[in-house]
Amino acid sequence: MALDLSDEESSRVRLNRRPRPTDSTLYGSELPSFDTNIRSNPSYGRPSVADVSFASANMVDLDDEGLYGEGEETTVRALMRRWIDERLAPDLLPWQGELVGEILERLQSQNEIVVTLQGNANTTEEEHFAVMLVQTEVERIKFVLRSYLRCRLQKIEQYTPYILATPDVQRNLSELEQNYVQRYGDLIGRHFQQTTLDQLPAHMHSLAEEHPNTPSMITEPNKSKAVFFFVRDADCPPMALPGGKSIELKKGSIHLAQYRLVEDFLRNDSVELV
Amino acid sequence: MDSETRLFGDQAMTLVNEARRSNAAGTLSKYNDPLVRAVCREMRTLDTDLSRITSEYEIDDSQVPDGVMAAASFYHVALRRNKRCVLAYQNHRIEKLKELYWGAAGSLVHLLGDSEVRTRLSPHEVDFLRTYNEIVQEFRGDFEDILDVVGDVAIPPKELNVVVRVVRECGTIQTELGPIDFQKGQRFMVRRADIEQLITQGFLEIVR
Repeated sequence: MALDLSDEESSRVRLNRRPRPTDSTLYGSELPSFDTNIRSNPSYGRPSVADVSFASANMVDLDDEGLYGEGEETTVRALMRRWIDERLAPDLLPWQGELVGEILERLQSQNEIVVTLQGNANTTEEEHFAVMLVQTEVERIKFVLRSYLRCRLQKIEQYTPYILATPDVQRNLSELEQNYVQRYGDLIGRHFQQTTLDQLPAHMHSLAEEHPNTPSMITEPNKSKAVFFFVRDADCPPMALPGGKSIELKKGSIHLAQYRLVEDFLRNDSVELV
Repeated sequence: MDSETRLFGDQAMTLVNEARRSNAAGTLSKYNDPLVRAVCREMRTLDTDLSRITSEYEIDDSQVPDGVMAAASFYHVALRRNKRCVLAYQNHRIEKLKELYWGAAGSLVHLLGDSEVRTRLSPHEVDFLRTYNEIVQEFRGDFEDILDVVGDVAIPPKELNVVVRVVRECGTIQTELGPIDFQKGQRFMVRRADIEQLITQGFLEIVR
């Protein structure tokens, strides 16, 4: 988003105009949709999120088209979906590098615009008010992104030995996360070794002993966990149940199933967890 | 404890109970070094006994009497159980340490500077925290300037500015509006993002 300061008008926040998708004002149709989307979809019932104030959405004349129902998914909306999926899935989902990169880029550019406007003596009071709203939105999007990253870190730490032993799961990690899991694995391995295992008889030094009738020492994600999911795709193939039966997945319907059945649908984006 | 009347695994069970109590109370108790050592010693003794029993029959195991077989299995199970118990205790400690670390907003100086916490840690655990801090900081560094990964993830921000009360003195802090000298008892209206860390670390409190 380039900001041309020689043109007064283009650097202004246009409170009364409907932002077009290509508009380079502070409100691309992106940020305020953060609120409106939560409201428009009752399935996002997490109170802590739905609770965030609607101030910015109500005070700014928003282009509501595309926010309710059919329209294309906005970046922020996509982040919200990935975040909720990640928090509800027992296993690590594929890393959304492109999405996170785009969000970071946008946060950065919004921040630059805010700084430019704040430092400009010609900025009107109305604009200062709008800048405040944008800053608030930015903070809230940062919160979602942070929560997304932290949720993944928490799972990575919980399942470190399992991830290190399973190349398939490692592919779901970003480079940064792969480095993290390696180093964290080394760290806990060394810690257990030094505090406990070194003092045990030599044949008991392994951290991954397998014995019959004993639960494994490596914690794996519980894929039998039941999850609620919402069908996004109009032409979603039916879901095959373990008993040989299958159920039809109609767009917009919500079902409850074991995570292992939902996994593949989640991967190709045809469902989302709720 | 009288060693004569102690059963296999009693001490290991004590460790597990300690971990369980600590979880229920939400506090970190002192690292029980003597007990961990005692359990490991018990395991070494059991292992010596076990090898003595089995070594007599090593040549041809078809001749092992049922009684000896049962005793050997019993020793073996006791050993494995003890190992799991000690590791469970260590793992519980790690989880608690990480909880404290994130609770202190990733500030190791703040965490280890608290003498009350420090005395409860074993030297190995302090090392663990140091290395863990390195790993987390490296991860955090990648998002520098745009996003602080270590920030609060419990309550989504509802407003840009908050009114805070100073609970503990923390000196002069640079904020967007210039430096502020936080003195105990004072109230300030500040940018939330500027002082988030201080809230997590218990210096400031949000006034609602």
